[in-house]
Amino acid sequence: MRELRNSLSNRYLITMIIILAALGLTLVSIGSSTTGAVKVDRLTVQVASLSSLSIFLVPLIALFISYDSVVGEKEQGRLILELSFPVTRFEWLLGKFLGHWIAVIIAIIIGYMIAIIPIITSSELEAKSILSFARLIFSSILLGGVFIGIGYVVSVLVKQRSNAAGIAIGLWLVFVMLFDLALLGLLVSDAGKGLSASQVNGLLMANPIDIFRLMSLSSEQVNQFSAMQAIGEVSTLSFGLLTLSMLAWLIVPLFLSFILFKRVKL
Amino acid sequence: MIGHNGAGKTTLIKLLLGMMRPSSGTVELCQFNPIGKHEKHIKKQIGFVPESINFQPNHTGLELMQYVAKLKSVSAEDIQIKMELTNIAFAQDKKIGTYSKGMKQRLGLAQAMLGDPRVLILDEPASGLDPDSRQILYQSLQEHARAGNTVLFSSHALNDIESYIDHIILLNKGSVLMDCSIAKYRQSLKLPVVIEIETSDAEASAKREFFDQLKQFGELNYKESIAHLTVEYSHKLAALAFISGTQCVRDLRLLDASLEDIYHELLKKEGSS
Repeated sequence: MRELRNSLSNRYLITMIIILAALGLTLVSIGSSTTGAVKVDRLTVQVASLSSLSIFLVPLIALFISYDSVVGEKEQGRLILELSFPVTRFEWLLGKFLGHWIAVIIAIIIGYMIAIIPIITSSELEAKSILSFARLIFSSILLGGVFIGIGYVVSVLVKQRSNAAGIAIGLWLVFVMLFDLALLGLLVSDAGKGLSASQVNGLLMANPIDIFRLMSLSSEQVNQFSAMQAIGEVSTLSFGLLTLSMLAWLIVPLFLSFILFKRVKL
Repeated sequence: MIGHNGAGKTTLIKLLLGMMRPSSGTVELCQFNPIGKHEKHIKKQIGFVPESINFQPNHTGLELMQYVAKLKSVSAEDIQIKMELTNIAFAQDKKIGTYSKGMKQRLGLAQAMLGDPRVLILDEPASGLDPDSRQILYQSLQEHARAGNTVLFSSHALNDIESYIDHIILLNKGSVLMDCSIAKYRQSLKLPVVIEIETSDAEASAKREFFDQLKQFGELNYKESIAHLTVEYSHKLAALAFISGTQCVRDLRLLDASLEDIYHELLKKEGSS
């Protein structure tokens, strides 16, 4: 609760909502010009654009609010005070996580709702496209949680706040850009020819961003508008399995940060 | 608890709070180890004020108090009582970011006193405070201690705290140099005592004779009508008896060894041995 209130009064949350809504709206307006006369539900197209937005922004926002949560408080000398209150370290970090996550969830829901207002008001909606929008929101929320957890691991391990910021940006680059570039390179090169579908799936599971891509773009209509089409066909992973692996990505870093935090010397 | 910078005061406090594990030995606070299953039980019985107080600047004083009160399961009335006690209630609805150093310190004390903890731990509570605030601080600490609680705090301002404390721990390079009551320590250390003598308007010859006699007790410095006689502890009573028996004295004051003197003396001993 405290962390959520903190985010509110810090205006982080409002900024997050504005960024997501503004970029979402921009995409919506650009997106509608390209669809032209094609007989496709406009919301479906938008889900594809918004999911690309999520890929870049959600991890960035999540890392941004989480990277200094331990090391920053430590640097300001606040951690020792907060931990002198009757809370265990586990409870303290868990409370922080819930607060941060809820803030991200609120930002995603409100931001994307605002982004699709023009579509809802101007065209008929199909049940299928509403489902894919719901999937987008659901997987964005999970993605946010995953990167908050990753941010905590960084925050617990690092000694200085500035280092934490650098590592967080580095991780963002690796997960969002470099990993996929490398994967694509591998698939295109000769070495990739021998890869079986399950091996490709395994590689995709190694990056929460790719799981997110598969989750939010898994419906076939959305798939045809995204660059993931080829991989989507190869990949035969079900939505449930994807959700499970996303949850694993959520829990493992979080668990790791709890264990590491227990050992931190103040 | 006094000691140089780096003597181990803050480390000791962190050990007590369970923020660090001891590399050897055990820590016990209210009969339990502060790390482990009794952690919360113990934390409810302690109040802590860190050296540099940095509360969330975007919260108000009252919000912070409510947060701590909830964690310590303390009633809302106690918030008001403690805020009045530390004289910070007037700023309870202002953001902590706008507080002055003294106000933050008082808020720090207020949150630590919530629920009347059995043990109050403060890390250099007086640093950066003006003399008035310091006095108020020490008085409230003294009151808390008189109510049957333990107050442990570290300090550099030795002369300031001398009249408020009844037990002293001196740390140097991570080890305890001394750990006992102040009176007992002064006695065991037997530091020289300075007697300040104000002479009466006696004749110059009588005065000179008096001063000459005084020199047998110890070192004498005088300027016009004020004289300072430094006597060994063992000669203190004899010197006093002599002085009070003469006609040449209008007034006298005993300048006991201050904490500062004890401190320097001890470190000197430590250095030579």
